[in-house]
This record gives sequence, C-alpha cells and structure tokens, in this order.
Amino acid sequence: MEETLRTIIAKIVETASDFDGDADLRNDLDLDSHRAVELVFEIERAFDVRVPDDGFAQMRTLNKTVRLVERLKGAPAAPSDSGTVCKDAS
Amino acid sequence: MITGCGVVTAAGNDLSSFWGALLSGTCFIGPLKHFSAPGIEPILGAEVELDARDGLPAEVDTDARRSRAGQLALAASRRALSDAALRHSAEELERTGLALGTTLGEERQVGDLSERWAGSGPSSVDPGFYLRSDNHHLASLVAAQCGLGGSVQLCAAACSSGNASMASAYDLISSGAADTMIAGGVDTLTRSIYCGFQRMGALSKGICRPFDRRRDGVSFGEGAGMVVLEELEQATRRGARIYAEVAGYGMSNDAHHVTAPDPSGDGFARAMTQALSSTGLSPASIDYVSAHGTGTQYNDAAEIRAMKTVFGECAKQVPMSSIKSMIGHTNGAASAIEAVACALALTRQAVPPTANLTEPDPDCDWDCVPGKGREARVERCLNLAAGFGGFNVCVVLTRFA
Amino acid sequence: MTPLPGGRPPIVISGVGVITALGDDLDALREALCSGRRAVVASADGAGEARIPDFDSARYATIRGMRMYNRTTRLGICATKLALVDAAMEADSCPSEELGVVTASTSGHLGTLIEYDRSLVAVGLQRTNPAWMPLAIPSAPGAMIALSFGAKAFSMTLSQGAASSLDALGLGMRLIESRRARACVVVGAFSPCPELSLAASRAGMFAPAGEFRVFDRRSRGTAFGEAAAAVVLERLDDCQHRGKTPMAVLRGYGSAFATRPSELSAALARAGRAALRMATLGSADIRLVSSGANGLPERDRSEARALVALLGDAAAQPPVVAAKASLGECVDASGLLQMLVALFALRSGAVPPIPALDEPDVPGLRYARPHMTVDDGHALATATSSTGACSALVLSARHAA
Repeated sequence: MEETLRTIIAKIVETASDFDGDADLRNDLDLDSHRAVELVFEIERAFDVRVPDDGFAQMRTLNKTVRLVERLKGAPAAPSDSGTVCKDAS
Repeated sequence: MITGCGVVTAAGNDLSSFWGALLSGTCFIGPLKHFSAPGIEPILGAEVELDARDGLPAEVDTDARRSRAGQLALAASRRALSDAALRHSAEELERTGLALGTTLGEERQVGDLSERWAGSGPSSVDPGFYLRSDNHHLASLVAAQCGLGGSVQLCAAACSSGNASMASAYDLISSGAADTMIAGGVDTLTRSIYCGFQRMGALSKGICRPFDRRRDGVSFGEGAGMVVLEELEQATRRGARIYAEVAGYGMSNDAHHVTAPDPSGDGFARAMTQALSSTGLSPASIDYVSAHGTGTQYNDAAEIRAMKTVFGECAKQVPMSSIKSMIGHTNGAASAIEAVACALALTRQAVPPTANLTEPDPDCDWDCVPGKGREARVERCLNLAAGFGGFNVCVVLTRFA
Repeated sequence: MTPLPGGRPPIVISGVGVITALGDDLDALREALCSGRRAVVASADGAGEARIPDFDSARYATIRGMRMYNRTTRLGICATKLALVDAAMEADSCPSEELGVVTASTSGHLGTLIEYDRSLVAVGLQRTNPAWMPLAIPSAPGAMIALSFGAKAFSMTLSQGAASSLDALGLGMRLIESRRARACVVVGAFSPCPELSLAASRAGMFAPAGEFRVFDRRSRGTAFGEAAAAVVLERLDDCQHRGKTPMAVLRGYGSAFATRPSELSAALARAGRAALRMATLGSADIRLVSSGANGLPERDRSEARALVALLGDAAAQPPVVAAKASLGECVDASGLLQMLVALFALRSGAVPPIPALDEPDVPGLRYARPHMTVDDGHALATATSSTGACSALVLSARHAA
C-alpha cells in the first residue's frame, strides 16, 4: 500500500517517487489545494475508502497518510452522504 | 456613461424592487424549486422568476427558447435598453455593440448530452450541438434580437466576466470603435459548478455568510445584469438619464493557483490600486466598495487583507458589502449585477448591506454593512471581482454631476 | 518607421509561435504553403480533419501541472512558449506584472466539461475527479496559460469562434495602448473534442473526403484543422528599447455583427472599413488579403462579396489567399494563422496559392494562384464566425512605412 500511495503522490506533485516519507506534503512537496483535491480523490478510488472532512488534515506526510488509509480500511463502511474532499480549497 | 440598467435576479427584475430588496437585507437564498444536482441534498440557491414581459419573441427558434442563459441574458438586455430609452437609427445601431460575459454559458446543452449519452452513447450527439456549445451564440442571440451591428463579444473570465465585459466595452467606446455598448454578464445554476464546489468543500452547507466568523462557503444564484454604456456627448445630446460614469478600471492576475486567490490579497490590491491610479482618485475619496465577498474562508480573508493594504491609511473605513449574501453568487453575472447596485447606490445615496453577517470574523475587522443597508453620501464606488486562476477586475463608478 | 497618425503608439509583434499539422517551423510552414501542400487528410469516416502528428508537449515546455490540462490547453501553452522564446522574453526582461495574456478559445474547455459532467451523471459526485471542474470552464485554457508563464497583468478570454483570434489581437492592441501591460501574449488554440467533430459532421459541415476546397463553385463544406498560434505584442518603443527588431506592425482592427446571415457581407465590409479607418489607409493601400474562407459555400460567398465591396476598384489587384484551404478550419487559432500567412508573404514576396481552386464562385477578386508575387506593404486579414461575428485586421511587415 505504501508503494501505491507513494506512486500516486509522486505523480500528483510531479516529483521522483523516492521522496522522504516524512517530507511535509504541503511545504516540502508543494501540494497545493487543487492538487490536494485530486490526491484525496485518487486515494479514495485506489483504496475504496472515504476520507472524512477532518481526514485530510492528518495527511501531512506520506507516512501519516499510510497510517490514515490503514485506519480507514479497518473502519466500518462509511455512510453514503456526499462528503467534501477537503475543506481548504478555494 | 451608464444610461440604462437591467437585472434579472432572485431579488427581483424591476430596478426599484431589486434595490428595495437589497437595502432591506432580505436573503433570497433558499431551497431550490427548479434545479437539483445529484449527491447534493438539501440543495440551496437563488432562482430567478421571469415574467411575461421577458418572454422570447415568437420568431426565436426552439433551441434558443430552451436556453436558460439565453433567456436571462436577453431579458436583462432588453430591460437595460428600455431603461435607457435608446432610439437609435440604423446607422447608430451599426456603432452599437455588445460585450457579454459568462462563466459557463449555456451549460444545459452539455448537461443534456451527458444524460442522453448514458442511454445512447455517441448517437446522442445531435447536429445542433455544434452551434449551441459555442457560447458566442448567446451574445449573438441578444445582438440579433436587439438589432446591434457593432462589435459583439463573448468574454469568458469566470467570476470576473461581468467586470471584464464592462472594461472591454469601456475601451471600445474610449478608443472610438463604438459609441454605445451593452455590457454585462449571465450565468445559470449548473450541475458542474455545484458538484465541483461541493467536492472542494467550498459550497456552503446552508446559506453563505460573507465576512462572518462561521462562513463555510458559497451559495449560488442564477441571474443576468446588463448596463447600457454611452459616450458622454451622445448621452447628453439625446437627453439621456445618466446613472453614473464608468471612470475607469484596474486589472490584475494572481497567476498563483488554479482556484484559490493569492492569500496575501496582492492580486485584489493591485486591481484596486490600478483602478484608482487610472482614474486619479485617492483611496480616501471612495465611498463604497462592492466586494467579491463569496463567503469562503480564503476569499473573504484575502479580500480584507487587500482592503487594509489599499485603504489602511484612511481615517475612516470605507463601507464594503457583498450582495452575494442576498442573491447568491451568480458567477459571470455577479460583477455586472453589482455594477448596477453601485449605479443605484450613486443615484439613491445609500449602500446595500451584507446579509447573514451576525458574528463578524475578528480577522475581517472592516465595516461590512451588516444586516440592513443605510443612507450614505455616495460619490464614488469600486466594484471588485475575482475569477478562477486569479483574474481580478476592479471597475470605478462615479456620480455624474 | 513613421509613427502612426493621431499619436497612437505603434503596436508590434515581437515574437511568434505556431504548432500546426504542417509543422511548427515558420520557414518550413511558409515553404509548405507556397508549394501547395495541404494538411487535411481523409479520416476513417470520410470527413477530412487535419491533426497535428505526434504532438508531445514535453518537447516544448516543462511546466508543472501540464499533465492535468487537455490537449487544447497544452497546445496553447506550447505555442506561447515558442512565441515568448522567439520574442527573447526571458523572465527578467519582462517582469511578470507587465505581462498579460489574451486567449482566443471557444471550445478549448469543452472536452473537459463534457467528461466531467458525463462522469457526474454516470458514476456520481463522489467518484468524479473534482480537480477537473476549474478546468471545465471557457476561461480555463487562458487562465492556465497565464499561470504557466506567471502573467500577472491580466488573462482575458474571448469566445467568438473563427473570429476569436482577430478579436483577441484587437483586444491585445487596446490593452497595450492603454498600458495595462508592457507585453501581451495573444494566443489561440483549437483541437476539437470528438463530440464537437461528430456534431459538426452530423450538421453537414464537412466536405466529403478529397473534396475540400474554398471559394470554389464546387465547394461543399469545410474540414477542421488542429492548430495553435501565439504572438507577443508590445509597443514599438518598448520592443526597440529591448534591442529586439519587430516582425510586424498592427495598424488597424474593426469588428461588426451580422444580425442575419444575409447581412454577413455587409457586416464584414463594415469591419474592414473600420480597420482601414483606424489604420488611416484606403483600400488601394492593401497589397494582400488573407481571408477566412473555409469551404462553407454561403460563408465563402459572403466573404468574397464583402471583399469585392471593400476593395472597390482595387479589387482585381491584391492577391487573396486562404490559409484554411491548406490548414483547415482552425477556429480559434485561424485568425492568428491567417495574419502570419500574410506576414510571410509580405516579407518573402511569395504568395501561397489557394490549392484546389479551379472555378471561383464569386468573380472580381484576384484569387491567389501559383507563382504570384507581392510587394511589401499592408495586408488585410478577414474572418467571420458561424454566429455572425465579423472581424478585420490591417498589418504591415517591419519595413513598411
């Protein structure tokens, strides 16, 4: 799963996939809010999870994102309301 | 000079009732009767009700009849022309043009295509789609119905389209390419925009509250706003009633991000500063600012920062309000409708409020005219608009003595 | 170079970039056109369409975010890069607040909007990529071009079909004259999405395979051509101050609207006269006409009649070229390409012939034939849109007085 996440993030921020797992996605890898909406979407699609509104705030680094997705995969099925992808865009 | 105004909005289509509704701080955003989007429940917004006088003439073809954006644009344009009492000869009409702005134009024909595609794939693409998907046909519809023979333009500048069209019209008249221009913008409620904003977390869960601490995003509205602009000598010669002068404008492009404004407010500030310097006006001389004020955390904060940058040295805070709080964010129509509100502020000597503003954000510590409008001495206004990608246009409107 | 009368500052072209189905090298393109090469080839379903072979945006520019943009946007970005390099406009020679962009784009966003909305209908809000929405509006290609190059003065988009890029040049001229920026990129790109091509085909717009011709009595329709073109506009003194030699001077621009198809000729003639007036020239001063004829019989006839009316006694003298006969109907890019074809001809003296023209439909014009030559001087470019917009531009190559 970490490999998949690493590949997804690398594609979206347009960097080589050997970036530091503790690098800050926003400050070090320049993940802006437009790319962030895409990232959450790709993660939800790849792992069939729903990232809750406050979930994005936990996605500060690749390693933290891995832990978040592991938690979400282990969680019971999310309710079927249409959540927002992340709250700090636009 | 602005010699005629026309609006179709949720707050009314008649100028007096529109103005009265704005001043009273009534909010027209609520549950939608005629529009829905999948996955958004409840869905709120502001809808327009056209009346009999806005009906399309019999000879307009069926495609155009089905176009909501076309109906709205034509309704506002005809109201503006009627308000201006323009009695142009055929020759004068050849020197009369149109600058129409929109964010998505007639999106419905793409919407229809998507729905039919689900059933029939490529065979759902009909021949008429070629012309209908061309947004210029909206400008063409209005110009043909109004008999305009001058320059007819479709300006696409996202939520700055109204102001961008007015700026373009202003330049065409100043450069002598046209004597009269109708300028403004139109947009409808669209699935793509509702769904896109919802997923970006930028659609309010309730009703937008610009500059409020609890603001959580945009509320949308449909609408159109058009003004008749005339060169001064022509306007005075025919004894036109002059609402206001378009004194000039400023433009800037953030070139910072695909959707979010530059958080420092630099883009807004540059547009306002350029508007002021192009007209030789000082910040202290401005009596009212019509804000972009969409109600998102980002936009409103950036806009206040810009106000402080430009007006920070002034003795008193210039009143600033967002009428989107009442009629919703009408996208390409917004800044055009707001220009009409400024024209009315200048003639009626009052400023409209920001509705739904009951707990001001401490970071938005500015006079945002909460609740109800108030009487004021209004000689000069700034009308500010910002579009996706960060294109900001600020138009200066002044009272004509 | 003599200054223009009336004190208007000369606006020049200081850089050019093109990407067409006949290549992106300006000299090779000129030679291809002069030798009668045509880009339009028959595609599988019999309708001709010219596509740019092997377009790879990475060959032209490495710009962050480009992978998200559709083909039209990437074409526009790459053509802009070519033009900026050609203009020797490195980042530090033009601070980004002094650079603006005017984009001609009518359907550049359409493919993205269709995919986005189709996805909303097919799989719902939750499973649709929200990052597409801001790219699905008509102002998006232009906004992304401005973002890619840090253009902070303005980003305006005009959606006027085949008249768009001449109108964009006119707008660019006005914005440079009024000092809204020190340099302005004017760019147009066209890459029809499958639905647009299908709709046009079903509307009967395309000539049968192998029968695409323009101005000819046997013309039976048009063919699309994928292309992008960009130029950099500046004031002459700014250009010279940088030590750059300009390639052309834009002398005049005019536009008008035809309220009915039967008015198209008259409206185009009016636009042409306005352009000549701005250039303070008469029709006898025109050495070459670069028309927008595209093979649609009624439109070609109207354009030819307008030229006969406009050129008057001089009608039998300047060669009339038709770039679209070689490159196809490139819609938003076509006006820029027409202007560039005129420029090549004026500078080299060699006139590109109109391929496959055997029997002109409308007599009285000197249609370009093989081996014609032209003296350096002024050229007129003309365009009409399927929605009634008519535009004209007058230009001269650098050595003209």
